Amino acid sequence: MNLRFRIAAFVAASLTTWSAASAAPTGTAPPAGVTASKVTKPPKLVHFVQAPYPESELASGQKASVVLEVEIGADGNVAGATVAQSAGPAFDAAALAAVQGFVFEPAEINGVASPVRVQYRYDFSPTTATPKAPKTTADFTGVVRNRKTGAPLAGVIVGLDERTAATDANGRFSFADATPGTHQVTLSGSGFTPVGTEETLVAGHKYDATYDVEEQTEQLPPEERVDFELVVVDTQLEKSVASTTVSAEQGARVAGTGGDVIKVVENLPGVARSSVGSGALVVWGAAATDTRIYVEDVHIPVLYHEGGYRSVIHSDLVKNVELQPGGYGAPYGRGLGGLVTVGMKPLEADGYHGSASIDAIDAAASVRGSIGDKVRFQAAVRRSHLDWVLQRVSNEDVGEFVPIPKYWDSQVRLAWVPRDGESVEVGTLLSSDQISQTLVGADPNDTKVENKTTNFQRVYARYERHLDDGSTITATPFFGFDHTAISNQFGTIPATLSEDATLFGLRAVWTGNPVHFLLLSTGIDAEVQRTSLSRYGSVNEPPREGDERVFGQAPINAVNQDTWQTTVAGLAPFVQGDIGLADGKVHVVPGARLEPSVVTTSRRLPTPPNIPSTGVAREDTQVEPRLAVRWDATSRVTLHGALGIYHQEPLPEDLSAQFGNPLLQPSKAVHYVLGAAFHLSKPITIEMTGFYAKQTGLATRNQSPAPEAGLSLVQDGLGRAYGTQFLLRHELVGKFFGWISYSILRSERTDGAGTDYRPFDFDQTHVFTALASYDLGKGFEVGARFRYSTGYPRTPVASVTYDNATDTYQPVFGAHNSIRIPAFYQGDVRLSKQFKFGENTSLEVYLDVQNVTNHKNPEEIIYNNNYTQKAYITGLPLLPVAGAKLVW
Amino acid sequence: MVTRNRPLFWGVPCAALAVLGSSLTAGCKPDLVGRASLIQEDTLLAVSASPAESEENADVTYTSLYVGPKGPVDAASFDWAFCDERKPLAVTGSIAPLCLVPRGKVLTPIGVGGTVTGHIAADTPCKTFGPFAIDPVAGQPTPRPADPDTTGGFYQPLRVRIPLATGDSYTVVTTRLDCGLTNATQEQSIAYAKSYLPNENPKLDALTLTRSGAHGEMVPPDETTPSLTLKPGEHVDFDASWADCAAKTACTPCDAQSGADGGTNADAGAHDGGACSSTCAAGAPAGCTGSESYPYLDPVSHELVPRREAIRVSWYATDGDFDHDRTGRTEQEAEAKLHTTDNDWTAPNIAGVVHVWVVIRDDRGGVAWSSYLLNVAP
Repeated sequence: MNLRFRIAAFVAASLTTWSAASAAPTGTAPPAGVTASKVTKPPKLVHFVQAPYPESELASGQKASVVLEVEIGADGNVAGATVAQSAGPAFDAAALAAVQGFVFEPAEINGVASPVRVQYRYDFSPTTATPKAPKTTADFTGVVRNRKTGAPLAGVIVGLDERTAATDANGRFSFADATPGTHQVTLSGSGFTPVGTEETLVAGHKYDATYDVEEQTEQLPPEERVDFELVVVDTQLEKSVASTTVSAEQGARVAGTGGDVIKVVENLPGVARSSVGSGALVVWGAAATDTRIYVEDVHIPVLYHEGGYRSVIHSDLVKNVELQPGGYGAPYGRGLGGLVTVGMKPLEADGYHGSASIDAIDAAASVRGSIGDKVRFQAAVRRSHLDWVLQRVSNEDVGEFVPIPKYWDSQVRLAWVPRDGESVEVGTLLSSDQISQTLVGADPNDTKVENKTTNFQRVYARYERHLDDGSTITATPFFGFDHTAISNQFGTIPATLSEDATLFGLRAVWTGNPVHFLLLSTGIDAEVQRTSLSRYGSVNEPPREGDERVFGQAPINAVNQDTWQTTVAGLAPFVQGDIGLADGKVHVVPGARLEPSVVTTSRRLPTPPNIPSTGVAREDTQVEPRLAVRWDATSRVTLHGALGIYHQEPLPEDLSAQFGNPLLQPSKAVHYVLGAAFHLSKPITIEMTGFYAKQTGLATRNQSPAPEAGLSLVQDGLGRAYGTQFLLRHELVGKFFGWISYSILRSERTDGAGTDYRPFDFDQTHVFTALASYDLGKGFEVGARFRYSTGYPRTPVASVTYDNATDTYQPVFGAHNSIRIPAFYQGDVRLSKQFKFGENTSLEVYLDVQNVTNHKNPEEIIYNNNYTQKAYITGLPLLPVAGAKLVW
Repeated sequence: MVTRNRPLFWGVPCAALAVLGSSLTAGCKPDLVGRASLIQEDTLLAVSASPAESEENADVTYTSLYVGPKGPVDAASFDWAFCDERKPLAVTGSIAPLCLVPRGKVLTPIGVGGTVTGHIAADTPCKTFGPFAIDPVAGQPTPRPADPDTTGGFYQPLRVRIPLATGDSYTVVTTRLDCGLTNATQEQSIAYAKSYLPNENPKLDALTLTRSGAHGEMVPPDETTPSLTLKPGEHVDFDASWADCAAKTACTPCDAQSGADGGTNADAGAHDGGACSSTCAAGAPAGCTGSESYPYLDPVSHELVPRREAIRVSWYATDGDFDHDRTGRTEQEAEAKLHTTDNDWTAPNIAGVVHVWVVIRDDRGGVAWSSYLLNVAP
């Protein structure tokens, strides 16, 4: 039953003057010397807030009226209200809450805007009358807190464009019926330097923002003074069922990340700890290549540079990073695993700013500014110098013995903001990695060479417009290249792979409220990738998931060659609705994605040279329904669930007629997610999410001793992952933030039809991370991180055979992935000190100490020559990395 | 983009370690004790096939080198059998796991003993293990041919079962098959046929021993009583050498000798002193016992290119300590006419007779060895 109230009367029954002594602290005092006053202009209500009919009174069905005495400040905002005529606690509370959002044209006394007190009567009436028209405005409420203490701040003037409101004793403010679109939000108050941000409001929605401002409570010397800082903690209503978002401010302060915001993803629940040096992003037991990565709406192939030391996007560009390990909505697809989205900071017209940073691994710089009010830009660049450092601090040429990653990345953004709510941005994302290593042995078969180059380039344009009706349009076309070149040599056995892809993509989304209870998103997600590949070498190098081998084992001496081209094109329309029910306490989010795709491969079967090859093409249309439900069961408890179907086209390298299978079809996954969030207090939340993911049609090696031509891979593999993840999180309030995440899961695969499930190569039963950061004051900050994870599974060596041709022992394996590398645990500490120079310039120096206990964590198993002994390669020892970052 | 599952080498943690200085780098990779070159138990060191490369439907004799801490060991219990099944692509070992059993449907017994002679089957090996596709089952698609090794070779596998008190031990032996050339143009096939010779087992020409500050001394092979004596703990340098083969393929088949391109036979017989016509006429092996040249159809460029065998030498002793378990010459080094390899050895501190075996292998499956005795005395 729809319950509504209506205003029966708006009566200014009496109008009295309000003495200066009784004025609210945030109000404007009446002109001095006013003793005999005359109301020359009455206040006029310009923004009205509807009070809901109290649920507790629904059963009575009674009509009720509450008369309030409302104190209106000289600025027209409500400075206070009391009940003059009660209708019962529920009605009184509803009326008092609503009237706080009223905004008046101020009254004038003797021609001067002055505070006044009026009486106002609210009439409540339950009704089943005709539903009212969809709400075309948004409600924007929030709280302003002291960042250090978390205490609410009263008397802070919050501006929403031209409107203002003062925070009450609880630090809360409210703007009812705000015009949809992008608004400037400002905060100012006694002793405050005004600060501002932008908020985008959608019609029919209620927004609850939290602003933490850093208030100076003591007189500090200028170099230690911290300016007021504004942190938007939460204004986002829409959130995936299983999602963790970390702001840039928090991410950069996590111990062990070296200040890299995106590196924080490794610490989120559901993410396996990657081996040192791999940087593989394994989410909910899915292969690294199954997780999609987007910077805004631009798809990029990797999140980290080679070795996992750094992300590929400079932290100064990053607003936040969000991980959705599964169960995500219809706007995204083409991946069986998780989804990582990197949000970019909006470009502001607030002068010129930049940063420069350096540590033992790399150096980076960024700059941003504006040309006039409408043109804004940002550029960043980073280059590694670890190889240079090692050559100078090491007594031997380490580069000859270990692969030292060399990388650089660069981002450029140029935005044009013709008017509020509309922007056009063009930009580039560039990244390059190179690894080169030669290991020379006295035995020709011990000479090993590894060369790997990976590059990607993206050029994108992004159009974004917030329409007057509250809807939003974004369109992001992008174009780019991916390049991978691997050239390895194990003795006489080569393994080369060259892959050059040209990529075009377009994501266009419209979001709006066709009816008041529905937030609809619809759009298209198109991607076309044309890839030219060439591969020569051993058929089992690079290894695939599921290959039984020991670390360092040479690939088999059986080589082949193929050159082929593939085109994978998909044009997916999608639609997703967020249906708000039960006064917004229940959100049902159905969605669907239609994925028509075309895959072509230039060679269906291996063909001798000089004989034209016959290609193969196929068309598919996948239907991917998705559904998520979120229920705010109480003010502190939210339950959520989701399920969805996902598909992923085969990788281009798997479509080889020699090494793969040109006929591979899309793999499929079904995700089931169920969880709950408990809001213990405003900054503290506990989330618990259980999941089950089933994968079918995974490409595996053909187990037949005589596989058909063109079928080196078959699609008989199955996968499943199930488990639960927990997150206890304390948001950044005051001086502290941190979280504890724990995942217990099992990820399994089969190697073909009729085979049993065995642990996935990257299965980790337990992954535990606890981290925290604390502001010690005076510019000092300390952070700590502790991680524990189960070791990766490995296949035991049951016996050996001697290979007469190569004079080596070859392992005969036992049960597949039936043993594990011992568990990993490590503590990291970060200490930083910030020096302030003037208003906008600061220098942060930090010491990031990894593995403070110097624990020798086993990372891999190695064997002696005849496999009669085994030992563990250990990971990082105690490793202090110092760095500095200058920001202006 | 390609994401490799695991690092190729274990380097990055070491690299990170090295930031602190190389003195710590030893911590990341443990040293495992045990040396392949030290014979501490009965061990099958090598098997040599004769001929080293065989056609189908031909006999091949297999000879084993089985040794222990006290010298050669009787290999009478060795059980030999051809493996008739190709190993699946997913198997990283060198033989189908089904063949690592005493008896089985995919095994063709050869015999028992230290030396046996087996018969390479007619018709099937070059299909099962070679470039020709296995005859498809009726109604089924054509199976995938086997992949060649890096020298373009295909191999018939066999397994040697060694019954031990602790259970059976298996050794995998492969015999290079002469299956001809596939996926080539007619011109390439003709050129290949003219220039390709079956592989010849390599042979150690000499082993010299050089003491500190002294000239090298020849170490006589196959002695029953050692003629050379070293002091306990003495450091010496062994130098193994093999034939310096001609740069071009040695022989042209007899029916091609009178052809217009007979000039390609300019180096004929350079290594064995015989005339091409005589070797062909006799049907004798015409290869070279060093790093042989051979034509190779490059799968990338599709060109027929000349290549050289890489040579590896495995060093074994019943006592003492070699610097390296194996040494050798890469293809590029062989091309530069390098036909020796050396290895330092430290004599044991205890007096006695030390058995030394030096096994030489080319990368086309050829194997040979020599045995030596050294006396260690104060």
